[in-house]
Amino acid sequence: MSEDTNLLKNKMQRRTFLKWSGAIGVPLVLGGFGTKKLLEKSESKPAAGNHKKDLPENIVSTCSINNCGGRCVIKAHVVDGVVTRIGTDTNDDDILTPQMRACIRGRGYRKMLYHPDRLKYPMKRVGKRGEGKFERISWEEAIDTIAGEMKRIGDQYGPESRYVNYASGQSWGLFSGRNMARKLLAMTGGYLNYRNDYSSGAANVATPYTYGTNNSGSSFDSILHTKYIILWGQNPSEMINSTPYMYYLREAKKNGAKVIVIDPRYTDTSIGFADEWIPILPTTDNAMMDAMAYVMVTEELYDHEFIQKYCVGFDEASMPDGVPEGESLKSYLTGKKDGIPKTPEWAEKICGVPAAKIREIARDYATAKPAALIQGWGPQRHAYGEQIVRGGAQLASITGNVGKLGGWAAGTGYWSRSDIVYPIEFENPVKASIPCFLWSDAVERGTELTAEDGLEGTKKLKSNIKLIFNIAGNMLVNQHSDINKTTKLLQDEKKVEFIVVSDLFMTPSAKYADILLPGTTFFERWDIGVPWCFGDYVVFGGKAIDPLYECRNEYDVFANIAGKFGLKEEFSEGKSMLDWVKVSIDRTQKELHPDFPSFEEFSKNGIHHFTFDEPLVGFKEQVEGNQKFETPSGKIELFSKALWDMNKHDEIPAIAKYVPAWEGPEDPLKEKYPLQLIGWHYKRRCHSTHDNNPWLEEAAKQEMWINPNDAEERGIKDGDRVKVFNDRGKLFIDAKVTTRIIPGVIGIPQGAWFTPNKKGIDQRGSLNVLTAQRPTPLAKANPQQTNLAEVKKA
Amino acid sequence: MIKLKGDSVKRFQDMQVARLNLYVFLHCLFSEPLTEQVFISLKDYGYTEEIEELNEGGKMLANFFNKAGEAQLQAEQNEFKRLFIGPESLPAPPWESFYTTKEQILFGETMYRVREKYSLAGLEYARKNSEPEDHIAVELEFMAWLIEKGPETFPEQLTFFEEHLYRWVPLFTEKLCASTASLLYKGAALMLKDFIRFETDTLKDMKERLEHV
Repeated sequence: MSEDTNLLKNKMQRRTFLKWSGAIGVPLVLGGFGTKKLLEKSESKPAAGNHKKDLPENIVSTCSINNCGGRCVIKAHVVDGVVTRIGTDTNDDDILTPQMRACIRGRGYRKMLYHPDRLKYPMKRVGKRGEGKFERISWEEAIDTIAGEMKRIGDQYGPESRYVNYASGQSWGLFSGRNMARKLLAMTGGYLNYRNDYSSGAANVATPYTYGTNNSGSSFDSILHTKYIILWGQNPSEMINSTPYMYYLREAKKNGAKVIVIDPRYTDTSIGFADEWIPILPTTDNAMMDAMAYVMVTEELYDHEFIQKYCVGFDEASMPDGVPEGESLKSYLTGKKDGIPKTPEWAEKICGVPAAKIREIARDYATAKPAALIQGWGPQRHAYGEQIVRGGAQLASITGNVGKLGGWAAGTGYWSRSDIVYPIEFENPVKASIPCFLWSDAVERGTELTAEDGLEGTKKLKSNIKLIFNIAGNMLVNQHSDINKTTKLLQDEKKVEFIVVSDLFMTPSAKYADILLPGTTFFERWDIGVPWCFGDYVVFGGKAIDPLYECRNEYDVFANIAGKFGLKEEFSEGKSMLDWVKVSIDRTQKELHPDFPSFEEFSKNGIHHFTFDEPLVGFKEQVEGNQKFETPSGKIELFSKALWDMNKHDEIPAIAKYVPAWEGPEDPLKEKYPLQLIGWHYKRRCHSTHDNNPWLEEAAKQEMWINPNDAEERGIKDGDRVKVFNDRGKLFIDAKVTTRIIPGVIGIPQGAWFTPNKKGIDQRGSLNVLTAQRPTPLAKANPQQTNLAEVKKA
Repeated sequence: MIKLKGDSVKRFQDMQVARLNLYVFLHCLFSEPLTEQVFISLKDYGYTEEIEELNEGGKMLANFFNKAGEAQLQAEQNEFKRLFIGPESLPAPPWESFYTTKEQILFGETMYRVREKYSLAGLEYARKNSEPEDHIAVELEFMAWLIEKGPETFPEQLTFFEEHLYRWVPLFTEKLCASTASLLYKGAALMLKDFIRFETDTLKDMKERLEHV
């Protein structure tokens, strides 16, 4: 019988109820059972002043340090120990010191801080790994267990078996949980290092082959001086590269710059800024780049003088020694060797951009001087992502836009001219390192990895990875490629023997913890926030409130674990997080910037802008002065002899060129899986952070974009539930039928939490169910935008 | 001072004891996983008859207390953790401000009003600012504390009940009932839901029978 079928019958009767007055056989009184939670105050405070409106409000300026490219000012209004409201930057707004205002993610931070699902207590796994069964334990037990396993695994397998996974949940500050784990591991024998990242992995390795460095960007105020901007696969309206970047784009437009956006999707950036949107098929950017270069070469639009002076490998006359005839850029473009001139018509067939449009953009870009070709990193997270950044750099070089105000050198595009002191240091006695994307390979077959796989610092590893610290990150499952493959690997408790996760929520990665620790948000600790590699500002990270529940800062956690090794003092040097923030500020003032504000000023203003008389222009010293490029030849290497000597010319060509991608539009697998699948950084998330904020889900729902042509062929209507699948797995998601995506391509915003049903099938649309673990050839980086898949109405 | 109208002193006192006992009983079920000691005590002292007659929730609770063995007790302990501790997403968060603020967060605006009322009564939450004090168990504990103090606290009881428990417990218990099939916690949820309904009438009735002098 349902409990509500008969209200009258269910209603408590007074007569029956009164029987409870006799029910005092046991000491059923307050405190008899259950912990008493209300305590009598030692002295009764006066009634007045208790009401919230009468209590003083303290405004603490703080900053989130997750893996967003920007840093905004978050003003926490604190009343009686609780954050009641969030404001943002209210300092004066000036073109060189713009306000650093929060976007919807930043404004919604109370939803994260006070989310009912916060991890509140330390836990240990009690079921099978990944099953999700945990039991609350004391901090003492958690710390004992971690210290014990660190030692046991270190003794048994050697330090190379201990690994701290790439994690970016709180990565851009002085502390960063993963660095605290590394520090302690370094102090107790060492750990296996990783190199590179998941953001610009291919670019980071490839760009230096052209320019000798990844610092190929210029400061954002430089674009105020440009006439023509190509945002190639860059979407700063959603993926905040740097908080003030969009102000400068807006101002650049006001100054008359034309903006072209090249992207498979009609992004928010296109809507807001583009004079023209050029849709392109994923993985084919280099075909368009080749054709643009072809137009410039055949129509003599290139900068002869610049190329002559600064570049290697443009034509046969400027080739390095020891390379046979016909390998220069010009020979490739004109088809001297392969008989295929890289004409716009050739490119149109590959990339889908009309030949006439390619000609037009090539001409406009080559003749609008100065012009800025700025590359996003989405396109380089591809099977041959190395080519895309070198291709962009090639166009910037042959048009002479490198080293000039208002130009832009393309490539990775980092720039920085201001820094703070990071006072917490450590040195890992282990020198072996792997590319970060290959960690799952190092679990499976670490001892078999060779230099060919990107192993450095040793010829062979002595052990597979046996211990993983995954601190404030979701790369263990959600953000790594091929979730089904990864989870299967982690479920095997004989492979990785011990996993520690510290986080705010029960993420798909946290589910695979053996010990699960409740971490803190930035509101609960001191720090200093720095933007990615771009921006002339740092943001103060004030502590607004004490850690909630039994949550602990990872700095304190690892200091406590260090105590078990007798190293607490050595680990912390007797300093608290606040002490370290003060050390950083003092030393920054003394060693780097004499006008850096004091702790008091910095905490009051919440932000410090570094000001400069003129924009930073990447490679200005090389082009205007006598400085050489940091390449082997000292010049821009359109042709890289170092790459040539690797002798893998098909996959790692010495000049940037279009290499047809596996699972690209020319792969025969297209018969079976006809749609290219890409992801993007969604405005409602920062990677996988904020996925559990329902307000942001309302603002921007997790859904798959599909073009009406593709939808109609499959009988899919807007809002339909669909199944997306390939050989690696399947997921369910709602479809958004829209012309904002190019036909033949579907898009699922990256970062949604893997939410399997009982059969293990994702119900939320977690992109990495469908992505591959096959790395790029040179950088061994993540190709998560290169996928073929099929869609069916569910 | 507050006095009772008429001649129903005994009846009134019985009512207070019954209310107190039920508040304490519910507080006990919602404050932590049911320990073996409490389980045995409740079982041995024979509450089950009273529980059973109260309502449908009582039937479920009686059923649990009469029949549960060690394994079931353990299962209910796990169920408590699943429902109220985590680490997975909590299906029915047991804190008031989740239900009564538009942000649906903990430590929300209404928690201050709860804090203020504790404070006016000379109480402070043991884990202030570490955990929110508008947890169901703490609010039930506060009501029990007031009842124990005697009829003088009736105005505070009425205000606290009307401004807090009455407003959110129906929402909470509805979510809780939808989230669990457990005899103990579905039973407790139904019991709490009906008790709050019953208290509404009781307090109205008491208001009429008490006079200020």
